[in-house]
Amino acid sequence: MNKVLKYVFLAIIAVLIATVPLYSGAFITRFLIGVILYAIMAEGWNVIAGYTGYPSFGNVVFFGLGAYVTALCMINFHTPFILSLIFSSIAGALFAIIIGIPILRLKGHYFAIVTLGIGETMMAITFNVPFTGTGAGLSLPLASNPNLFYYVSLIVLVIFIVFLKFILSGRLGYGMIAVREDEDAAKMMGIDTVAVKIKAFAISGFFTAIAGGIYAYWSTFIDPPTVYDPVMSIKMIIMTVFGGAGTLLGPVAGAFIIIFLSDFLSTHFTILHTFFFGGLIVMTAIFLPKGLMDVLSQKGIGWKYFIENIRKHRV
Amino acid sequence: MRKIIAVFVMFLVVGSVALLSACAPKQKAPSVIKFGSAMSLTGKYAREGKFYKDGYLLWEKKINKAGGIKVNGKAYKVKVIIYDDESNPAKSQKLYEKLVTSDKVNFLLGPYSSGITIPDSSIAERYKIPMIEGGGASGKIFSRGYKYIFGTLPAAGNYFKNTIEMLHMMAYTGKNSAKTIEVVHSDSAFDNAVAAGAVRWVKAFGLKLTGVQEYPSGSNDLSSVLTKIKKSNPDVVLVAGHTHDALLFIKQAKENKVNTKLMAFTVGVQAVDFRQSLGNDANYAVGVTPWLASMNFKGAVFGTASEFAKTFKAAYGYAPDYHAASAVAGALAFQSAITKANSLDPKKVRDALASLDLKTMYGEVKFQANGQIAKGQAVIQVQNGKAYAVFPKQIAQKELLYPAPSWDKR
Repeated sequence: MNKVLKYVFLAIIAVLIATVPLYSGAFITRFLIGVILYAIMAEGWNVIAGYTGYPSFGNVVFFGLGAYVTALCMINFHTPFILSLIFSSIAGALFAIIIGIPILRLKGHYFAIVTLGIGETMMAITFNVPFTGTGAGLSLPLASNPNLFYYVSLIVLVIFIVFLKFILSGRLGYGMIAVREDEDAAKMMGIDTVAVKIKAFAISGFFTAIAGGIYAYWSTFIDPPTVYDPVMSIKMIIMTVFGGAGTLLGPVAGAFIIIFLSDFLSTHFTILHTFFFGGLIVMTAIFLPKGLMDVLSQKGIGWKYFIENIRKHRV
Repeated sequence: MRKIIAVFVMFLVVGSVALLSACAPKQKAPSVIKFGSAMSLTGKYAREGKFYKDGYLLWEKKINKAGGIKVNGKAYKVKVIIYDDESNPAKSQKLYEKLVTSDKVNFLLGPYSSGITIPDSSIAERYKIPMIEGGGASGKIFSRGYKYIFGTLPAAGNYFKNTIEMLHMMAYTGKNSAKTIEVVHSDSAFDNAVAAGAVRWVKAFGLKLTGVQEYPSGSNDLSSVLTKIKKSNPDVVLVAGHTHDALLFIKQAKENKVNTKLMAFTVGVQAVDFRQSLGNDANYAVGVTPWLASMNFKGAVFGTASEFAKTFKAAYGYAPDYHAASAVAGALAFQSAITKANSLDPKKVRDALASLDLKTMYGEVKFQANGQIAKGQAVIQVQNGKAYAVFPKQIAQKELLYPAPSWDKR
């Protein structure tokens, strides 16, 4: 009975989510497209940082690269949108492999610093290479139907989650978790840690680049400071950690709640919203360091859970 | 199971928000005309964003005090809704979509900066609701063939046109001539457009270009740029950057003893606090501006430029610069177009805007076919701590001081 109920619930949710543009206004649709794009990015960060244990601070580089590849393909070669997205994703994965080979040898904060630098470097390159339009940016045509972006991004997110679930139950998934828990031990057990790390990074780059490509056509204009904005990398991290790093649906929940709160606060408190939002992030880091998904998996929540968290993490 | 329920609850929240927005109480016979804007109130453009916000709100207050706008014999109050876009284009677009679809505003007032205005203009175009923006001057905003975007800042490519023409005239009269020019610009969308235009005008007026230099936006050190200028030693440097960059440029030029006969900046020189923070070093700096409080512009509602400045200062405690004036000019254009169209229909107001010719305290507001205002930039110079118009001749208040003395002789 419980199982039947579960499937009925799931089916209702799926239908409701898939048909959002049909019954809600354009603003809600735009809000959700933003959420889904961030969910894809946060999930991308989750793959390399949450599961593999390599905290990248420059994942926005894939987003920017994807945005530029899609924009350049659509402007210069008039390729269809979906085909451009495929080019973007391939570019994202290839770029991850190329930079991953040298930098995935670094560990901990050394890796974090290098990834931060790569984002900035790509921004500087884009600023100075003539065919990217330099600082003047690129304008894309106006899409005839804005709901297109909702369906495309939703399909990409669903594919990503299903793909990740599949990966996690296989050799690669266990390899990633082994690398996160103890890389040396994993190597001793015969896991090709280099290959595992590069594959994880490539998956991360592949999907983040698609999000960038969707953004480019959706917003109709991109320039380097917007699509290589380091704040986006930080947001991916906040969302994933808020929802629960190393959980399948944590980043999605994190993206939804963080964007919902941020938008809600900023429309109701025009100036003070940054204060409330910052305070909220601090509070969750103190009381829920393991994220929302961890809270949901607890049986019975009380003060004990929060106090235990504070004690364990020695705040 | 818990997770499934959690997801379901989450979805119910979205659903209810969606429903609420869909069935929001329809306003019965609205006697209010709603204007909406997403302005940069926090983030890197917070400083300029405040000028626009204050300008829009001052206009709102003034109009409502005078009884509102009359359409078809009925007086409408005015309401301006302003949100914070955090200086982020994606957020700005989202807020404009909200303004149009859930706040149901009648008309849109623009955001600040070209990089944010370009994507936002596509929202105005998609919903066919006219937007007048006073904060983006890049030609890219107006080159996409959009019908519903209007701008009150002169075209970016023409920012230095009058400055270069002035230099050309000096060369013509023979004395104190300036022959060589170097262009420096930040890598932002807007400054790229300004620099490209400046290079074009330098060539068109037959002056010599010694080089074009680009620096990263928000840079905290311009000494490498200045070293190169010292080497190429031009008579004139034209700098396209934001206020922060202009301040830094002058400070570091003094430190590095870079003496050029004239330094001109796109943004900064117009502002009072710019001159205050530099003190004596601000003297001789040249700027361009579409508006100064001392210019002889005059129009309905706010009277002359200086009367507007007085009203503004009384309301907010600081003197307005061209940002605020440009914002108010856009709002005045809407007011006049609504009256002229005698309707709140977006299409009719849009057509009225296209053929508008309005005298305001910001000068003549008349839009070109692409939507951008047909207006030039006056050249101004700081003399004894005050900014004066020096070119074109018709509005000049003082003679240009040229060449500027070297830093050690000031």
